[in-house]
Amino acid sequence: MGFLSPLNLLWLAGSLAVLVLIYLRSRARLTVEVSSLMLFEELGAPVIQRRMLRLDALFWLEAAALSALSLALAGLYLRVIEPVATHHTHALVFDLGAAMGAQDGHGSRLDQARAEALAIVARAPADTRFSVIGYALDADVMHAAGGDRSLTRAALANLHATAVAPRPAALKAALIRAREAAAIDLFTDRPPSPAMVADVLSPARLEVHLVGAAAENLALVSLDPGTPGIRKGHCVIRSFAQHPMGSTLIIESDHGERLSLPMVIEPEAEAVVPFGPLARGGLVHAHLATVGDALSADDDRWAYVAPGDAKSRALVLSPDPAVRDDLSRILLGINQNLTVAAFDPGQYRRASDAAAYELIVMHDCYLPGLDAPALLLIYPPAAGARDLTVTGTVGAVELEDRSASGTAGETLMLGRARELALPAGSVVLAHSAGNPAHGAIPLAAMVGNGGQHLGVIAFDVRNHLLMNPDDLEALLLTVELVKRLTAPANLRVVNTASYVTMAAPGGATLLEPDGNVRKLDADSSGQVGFMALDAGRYRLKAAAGDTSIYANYFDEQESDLAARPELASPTRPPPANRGSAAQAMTSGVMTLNAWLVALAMLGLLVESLLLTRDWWWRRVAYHV
Amino acid sequence: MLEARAFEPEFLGRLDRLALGIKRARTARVGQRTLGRIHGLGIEVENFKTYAEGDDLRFLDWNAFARLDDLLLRTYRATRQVEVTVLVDASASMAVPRADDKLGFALLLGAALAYLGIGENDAVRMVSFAMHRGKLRLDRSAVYSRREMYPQLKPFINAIRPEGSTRLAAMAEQLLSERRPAGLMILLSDFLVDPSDYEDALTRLTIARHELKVVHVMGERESSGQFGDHVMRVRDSESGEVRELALGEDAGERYRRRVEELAARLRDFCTRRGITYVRAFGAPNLDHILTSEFPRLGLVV
Repeated sequence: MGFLSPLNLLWLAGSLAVLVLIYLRSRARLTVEVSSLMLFEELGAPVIQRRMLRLDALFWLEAAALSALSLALAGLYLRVIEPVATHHTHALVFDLGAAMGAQDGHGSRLDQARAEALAIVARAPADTRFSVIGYALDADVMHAAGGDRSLTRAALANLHATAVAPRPAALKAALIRAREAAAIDLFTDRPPSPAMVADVLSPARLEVHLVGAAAENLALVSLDPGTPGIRKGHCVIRSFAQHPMGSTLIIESDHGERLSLPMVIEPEAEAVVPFGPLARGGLVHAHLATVGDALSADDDRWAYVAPGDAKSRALVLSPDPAVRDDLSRILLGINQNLTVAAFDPGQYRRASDAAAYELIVMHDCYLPGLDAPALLLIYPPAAGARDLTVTGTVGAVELEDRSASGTAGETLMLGRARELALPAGSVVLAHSAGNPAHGAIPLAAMVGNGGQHLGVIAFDVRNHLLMNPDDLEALLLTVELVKRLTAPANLRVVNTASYVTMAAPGGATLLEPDGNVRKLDADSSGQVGFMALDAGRYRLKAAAGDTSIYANYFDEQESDLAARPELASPTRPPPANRGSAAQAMTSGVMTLNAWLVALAMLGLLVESLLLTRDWWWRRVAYHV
Repeated sequence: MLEARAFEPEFLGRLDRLALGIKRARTARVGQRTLGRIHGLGIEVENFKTYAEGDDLRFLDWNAFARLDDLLLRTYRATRQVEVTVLVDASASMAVPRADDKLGFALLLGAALAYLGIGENDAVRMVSFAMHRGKLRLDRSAVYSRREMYPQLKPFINAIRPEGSTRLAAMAEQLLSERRPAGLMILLSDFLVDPSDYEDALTRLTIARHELKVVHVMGERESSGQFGDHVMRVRDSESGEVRELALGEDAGERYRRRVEELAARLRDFCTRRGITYVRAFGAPNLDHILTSEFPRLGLVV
């Protein structure tokens, strides 16, 4: 119950006050002054008790009419709870996180959940409408509520576990979408937070089906391929088992190398397994072959390392010797196989340098004649460079975030920076915090430039900016950009739950790890994108060529298959009664204006009849 | 205002045929309440007595001695002025009901009695009394003894306003404290006080050898008891107390019975104390009261 216009209640207070005043005035008896009450003492008449309000039908009728009209003015309404549908609806909500793909002797946890759901569907009354909702990163309605059982079963059959950790927000969104159903069945391997459930819907309507039993799992936490021919690589392996587990780590590269490393991992231990160094590098694939391992999504990892069979050369040009030194160190840190040459652009003579460079880094300068497969421009000159147009220079900028960098963005004050006009198709990796003077400007970007990799960093890196521990974000941004520039154009290694974008103006076809094929349309900037939900290799076929994207997965909580807390509330309503006991209800507002006005009119009509009753009696008597 | 009639010549002309009924003793005897004429010097021979030693020889009747050879003394009646005090209750209850003009009625009667007293060459004064704000207010007029002085009472009478409460005992105590000679006191009041109050007052005045005459004044409407509404809220004019009353069918009758009860109690008390009680209920009966009731009851002769 509530009021749409509570202020109008003042009419109620005012009108009732006036009415009561009129009433009291009319009821007030004229006080007769007498010479003495002695004369009335023996009168024998009872002295009646004084009352403020006496029962007066007309008064109460008028009060009721005024109250009704005032309440109508105030917009009195009732919040009504009513069933949302005439049919019995049933929502089947599935956890599609990585752990649901864990296998035991009888299939995956998702298979077990699917079987339970099919049983529910089979024994449900004929008029029950089922909806199927899955959640992992987001909630997705796989099958809207409907009475066609074949569609429901098909939707259940199409469910598959992803290689991401389910987010609580996704579960909440799924329950919100499911709460209009009379009964909700949640299939998961971990109980949801009771507080979150209570926040969304009545817990009595929800039945949680905890599927799967405790299982043992070994997970590849990370893969460092090392430096081909120079530095060993290593893998970090984590055991989520209660017993020692034997396993074999297989390292393969796309250049034909294969290492097989058998080992025994202690229970609940983390092992760092070195291998190599690899002779050639390239795309390195680590696979953990374990007997009794329940989860396969975290058994593979990919990494790319520049092949070490041919020495790569890099050129660093900067008028500042300190910057040249910093950049050279960074390039060597990224790839120890690099041979870095550093020059002052004013002294560099292209004619005397016959070397072919894989990467050229120019800081605060641009030499038009120089070309390489990868070109990084740092703080380009005010005159511009290549496809870049410098529109101005700002004295200081604040690094706001680094989109798609994979690390949490932190604000960082940088020095001078160029305001750049990037060509279409450029991918901005970081931009500055906007301010009233010049707005947000791109600080790091991959510039769309046909087949060549061109990167640009807009801020100046003088004064050892990249070596300052306090400015680590600037270094990470530079390293990432260099890695992107030097990586093969047709190869990407990402983590699952990442949104992958590629330049494909005409659209592309995506072949997912499970064999599913999807058509991706390009956006206005000629980019296609997809969310990598499964671990493994994605193949993106576009007009410019094929690109392979390898998605790695690891999540500590999700990979721990032994952990499964019990339900907080053991009381569950019987499935047979749950739907009828807790019908899916929705709240609505029912205004009472018409009823209140009718009540007021009725009250006034009755009052009129009471006032004219003598006349009516006379009329009746006359006719009789 | 009824009191204005007290100075109309026509009204005064009717009063000229009347005289106050004062117990005027022919002789003054010990233990007998007498007023007016006492034994003593005078010009009117009252009686004879046998000479006793020590008698004043100036009163010896020499003619009788010569004829009868007995020593007889003449006794004379000494004419003495009687102080007549007309006490008028000026409490708030005398103004209620307004239509009855009870105070005006009482003042008219009081003025008439004062006129009669003045006509007898008695010393007459009027006194109004009421207890106002906890203090007895006793307003006294001058003493008048000649008829031509009667109009001088008018300003005093016109100045009397009804207010305060009735405290007869306090009034009597105040009067007695003035230690005036015993005289005639005519008390006009509605006597709407606790009976113990007027009994106390009248007893004190009687003991002080005053001749008392009580005029019980009530209004026409006040004494008739006619009520319109079944539920009535009444307020005491003196105490301010308010009561709501639900009146039955016989409320008027019971009210009148109550009035008669109170009047009878006062009358009985006066009878027991030898006090003249006169009932003056209703101003419309003024002529009847003056010409019939007052003489019949001995207030006037």
